[in-house]
Amino acid sequence: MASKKIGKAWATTSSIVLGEPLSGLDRFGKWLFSGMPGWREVKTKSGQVIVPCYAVFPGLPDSKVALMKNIEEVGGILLDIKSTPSAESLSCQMGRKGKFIVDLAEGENFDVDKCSIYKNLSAAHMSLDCFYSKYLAYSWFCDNNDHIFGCQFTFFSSFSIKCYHSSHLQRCFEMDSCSKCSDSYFCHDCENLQNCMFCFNVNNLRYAVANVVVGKEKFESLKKQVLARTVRELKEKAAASLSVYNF
Amino acid sequence: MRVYALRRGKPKAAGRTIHHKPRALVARSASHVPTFARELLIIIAASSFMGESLELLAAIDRSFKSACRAIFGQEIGSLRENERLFTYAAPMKKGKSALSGAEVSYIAPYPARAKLISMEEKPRLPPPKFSPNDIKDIDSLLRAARECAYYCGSKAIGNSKYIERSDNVTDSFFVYASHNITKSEYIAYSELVIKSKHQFGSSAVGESEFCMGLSESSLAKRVFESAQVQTCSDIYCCFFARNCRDCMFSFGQQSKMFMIGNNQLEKASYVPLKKELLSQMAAMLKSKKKGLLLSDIVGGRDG
Repeated sequence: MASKKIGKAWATTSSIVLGEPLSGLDRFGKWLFSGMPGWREVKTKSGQVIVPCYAVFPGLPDSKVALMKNIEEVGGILLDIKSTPSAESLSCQMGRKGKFIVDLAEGENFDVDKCSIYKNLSAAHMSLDCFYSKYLAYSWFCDNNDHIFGCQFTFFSSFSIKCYHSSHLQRCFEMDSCSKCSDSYFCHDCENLQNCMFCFNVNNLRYAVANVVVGKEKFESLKKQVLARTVRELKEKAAASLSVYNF
Repeated sequence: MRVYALRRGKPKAAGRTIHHKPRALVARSASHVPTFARELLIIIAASSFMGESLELLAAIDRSFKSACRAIFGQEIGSLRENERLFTYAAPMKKGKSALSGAEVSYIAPYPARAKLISMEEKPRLPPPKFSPNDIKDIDSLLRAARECAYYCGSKAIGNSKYIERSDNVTDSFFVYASHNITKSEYIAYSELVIKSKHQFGSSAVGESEFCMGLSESSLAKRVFESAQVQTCSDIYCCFFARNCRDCMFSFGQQSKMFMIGNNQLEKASYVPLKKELLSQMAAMLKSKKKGLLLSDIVGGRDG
């Protein structure tokens, strides 16, 4: 379960981005982590660990997962090399006898819960491969962020929810392949947008909707309608139907 | 330690494309020339692109062979013959451009019905057909959004050249069938690579060189089928090694060298054994025998 700190950060971020504070972060976990490779929780004798589901990790059986704190024990498991070993016999032995450390934590970390492969995190929950960030949850491969939820490959961003392959975003929701944008929603491959929605492959716009500048008043009115629908769905089903990948 | 990754890198100068000149020429001027001339330009661009493509594949193949020499001391065949080894990166998705029909590669979960474009085609996108007054409510807004929703694939930005079947590439050269590659060179079938060279089938790697099948690692040199490797060199089929060199079939090791199967050896006994094991491994790879992929090893596959 997410800590109080993270829960408060989620309420603050959802209030800023969606206009209404949402409570119960874990309820939205499935929606926040959708589209990402996923993870599995493995219980070992020494504690729980989150195992990512990409690269070499999916094939790793639960019984062979070890924790960083057991490194001495794991490193002490010897394979038989008395009779001249072959590459084939060594690989078989390693598979049978080996234990594999999955969790990697470096630097100084505070209030980190159910995360794997991280460095210098503060107040993090259910995140994989995230570095130098604070107040984040359900994110994967994100560096130098604060208050991000459900993000993937996102860097130098803050107060954003469900953003992908992006950098330098502020107060954004459902953005893909964007950079240097603020207060924008459902945009793809854009740069330098402020207060925009549903824009694709454009740069340097303010108060635009579907690549057309509509002015502040109209933008605010449309944004209100879109966010009201999104918040209603989130409260009812803990998931929203609108996504940047829906068009 | 992962290096600072800038998703977008240095912004590209306005009006310039990063690919080979004739492709850019077609992209920029196609709407202004008569049909015959346009077709001619497309043929020239296609032949030039094929030239670039061949150059890329030849360079990547040379790089693969030199990586094999660095890792095994011998070549194990061409890149194409060893494609089966590269299983850790999510495979690239392919689609056709809605504007030109050209192949577009992408990695994000774009919808099946998505209208795709490649990056060079962005200037050719049609202008919006509606005015601000046409957008009144959510329904009209979503209709307008659907109309302008072209998903861009094959994205290569900053100072990048010789990129094919790849997406989200920044400041990189000679990249093939890979995605999310930043400031790197000679990369194939890999993902999430930063400041690295000669990577084949690697995933989440930073500042590393001459590696095959490396996952979640940084500052590694000459590594074959290993994961969680930090500041190491000459590592073969290992899982979790920090500040190590010359280790084979070992796991959970820190600041060690000359280890085989977690057994500490003297250099004098390590060197001939390593030579023998490397020649066996190269022979296994040449004969396409299974058993050396780390995913198979950790899965406890019986020989």
